[in-house]
Amino acid sequence: MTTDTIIELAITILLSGSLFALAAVGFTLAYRVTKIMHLAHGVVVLGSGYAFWWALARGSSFTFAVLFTLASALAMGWCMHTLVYERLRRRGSVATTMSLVATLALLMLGQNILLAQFGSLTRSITAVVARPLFLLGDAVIVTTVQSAVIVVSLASIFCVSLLLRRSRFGKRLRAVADNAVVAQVIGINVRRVRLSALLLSSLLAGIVGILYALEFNLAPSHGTEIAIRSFSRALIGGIGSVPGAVIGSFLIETVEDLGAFFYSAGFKSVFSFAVVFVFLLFRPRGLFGEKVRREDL
Amino acid sequence: MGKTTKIFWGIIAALVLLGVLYLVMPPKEANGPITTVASHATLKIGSVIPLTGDGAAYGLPIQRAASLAVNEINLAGGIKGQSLEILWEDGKCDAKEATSAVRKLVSVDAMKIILGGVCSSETLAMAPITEAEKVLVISPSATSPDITTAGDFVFRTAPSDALAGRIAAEYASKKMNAKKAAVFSETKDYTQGLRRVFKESFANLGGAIVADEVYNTGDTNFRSQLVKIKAANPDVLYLLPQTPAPGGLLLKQLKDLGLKTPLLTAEVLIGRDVVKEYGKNMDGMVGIEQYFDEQGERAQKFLTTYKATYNEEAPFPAFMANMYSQVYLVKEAIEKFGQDTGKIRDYFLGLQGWEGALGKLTFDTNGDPLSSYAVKKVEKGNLVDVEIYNP
Repeated sequence: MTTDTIIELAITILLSGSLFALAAVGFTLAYRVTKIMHLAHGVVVLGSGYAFWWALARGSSFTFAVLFTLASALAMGWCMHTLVYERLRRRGSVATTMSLVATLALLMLGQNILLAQFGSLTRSITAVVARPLFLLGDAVIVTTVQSAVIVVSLASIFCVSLLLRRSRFGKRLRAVADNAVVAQVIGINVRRVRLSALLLSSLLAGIVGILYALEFNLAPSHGTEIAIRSFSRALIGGIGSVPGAVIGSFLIETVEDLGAFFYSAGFKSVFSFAVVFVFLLFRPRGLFGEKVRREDL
Repeated sequence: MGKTTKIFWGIIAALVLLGVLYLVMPPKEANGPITTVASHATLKIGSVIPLTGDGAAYGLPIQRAASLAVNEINLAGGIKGQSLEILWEDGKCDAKEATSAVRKLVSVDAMKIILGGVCSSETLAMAPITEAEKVLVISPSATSPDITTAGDFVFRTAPSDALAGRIAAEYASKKMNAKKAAVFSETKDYTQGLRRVFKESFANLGGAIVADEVYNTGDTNFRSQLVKIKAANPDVLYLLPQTPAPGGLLLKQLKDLGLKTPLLTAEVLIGRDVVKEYGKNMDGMVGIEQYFDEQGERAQKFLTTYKATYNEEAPFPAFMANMYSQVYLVKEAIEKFGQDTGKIRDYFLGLQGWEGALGKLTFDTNGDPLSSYAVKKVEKGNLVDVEIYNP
């Protein structure tokens, strides 16, 4: 194996690793505060991708398309939260199978709305053309779009963890995540914090959607795939942990890509789910997850 | 909840429901198939082709070609005074979908003749069901070598890839002087058939397969496979996507990775609209497809009528001409034998250079047509003829 190949492989891992790390961070954040397995996150990502594609296809400027996409991501998150999740919570059905069924239903509903609206044909963005950004002579190439994907994803993750650790907002978020009842007692508006956590998660989904649409392409069926990817990566990192989601994502991506390189790409998902099973069996709380307390089950 | 809130939510729910209904309703197809008003009794045949999904890229044009023929036949008086109608079912280029589609056509609608499937996966999945009921299947475009022996009632007007794969291997070895070849294919019946034949033939010609990579339908990231192919440093890369959509993404990622290996492909990526869309990423790519004489008088008429009716160039002319011809073939057979599929099968096998087609049609004993191939090349975004192979 030459150095070129090794660098190219590393970029391959870095590219999807960081993009889906951002998706997993959004998912894990929503879970940490609301305790809902927000699988509909996948359709927020994909819906944002479609929003971005649609805006560009209508001839709007890049900046407007980005703003429009982020606004639609927030709108999608807000709708899911207020119309479904909070109403379930009032009935005391959170953290039961009800909320899982609800989020799965949202995922399916969203995918089918995308299917009905945009059709089943694969869409790709042609307005933005990637130019090569050379590296090491002309042998190894990373494109402008790819470097944007990597930089924006990692920077967003960095900002989110800074926000969680340093700001008052982050403190409130963590307080609600740790114990909502106590948080309420000390005067935190728990409902508002839950809403802002889901909106933050949707904003991240919007960013992922834009980058996903730029680098890959869009089809309605991708929603489930993105949801499963976000979920499994967050799971092995320890659901609720931001660094866990990042490391989990890079771990799975490495296993998938090296497996595809050394064995066969047809087995990509076999490799990644083997890793998930190993974690479920031997370390169910994931890399950085808290020990599951009996009363939470 | 107060009464007003209830009413308020009721109205919201009704509005949302209306909105969803509006979204779910199929949008009006601007250039869908022509529908003719059936005046008298109708004579129905079935068809399973991809009407949605990525396979619709060729499914819909093939459907339009059939509609064109049906329309012409009905305007000229139909079949013995009855107008011809095709019952369309969506096979989505997928074995599972095609199975339920053909079950419906065979058991619910009692169809005896089915046009399709367009994809090899569809056709291979349909064959066991149609064979059991002696239902005649004629595909315009399924090329997998496995279809040759799929059944006595399975015919096709597109040739088997047992030859196409060999021609590709010969072209790579002799014309491109390739010693080392890489194959990158989708895990579908059609592409796997070509991959198998190409690998065997290329090895027989003394070449080496240095990379043999696959991807699953729906995958969007091909980088690890492409890195592997690049590392193997092949003289030629044989690209085999099932549909244009993953193919376009593949070409983009190839370019992003700076892979400059000469490309060889089958028919999907040299569809006329595909070349128009992705041409800048496929310069110098050589594609091999079924030969169709576009200059013939009837062929010209077909192509111009198609363009006038649907406002687009025929994107897959050979397969579309096959479908168009098939409708006329079925018409002639029904006029002679009704829907007696046993007799129609024997009639098909006895055809020698049947002239009703946009070209001449002869089936071998397995129901495969004798056909030539055209080698084409993409130059500066245009498709140019290189040569014609006669078997």
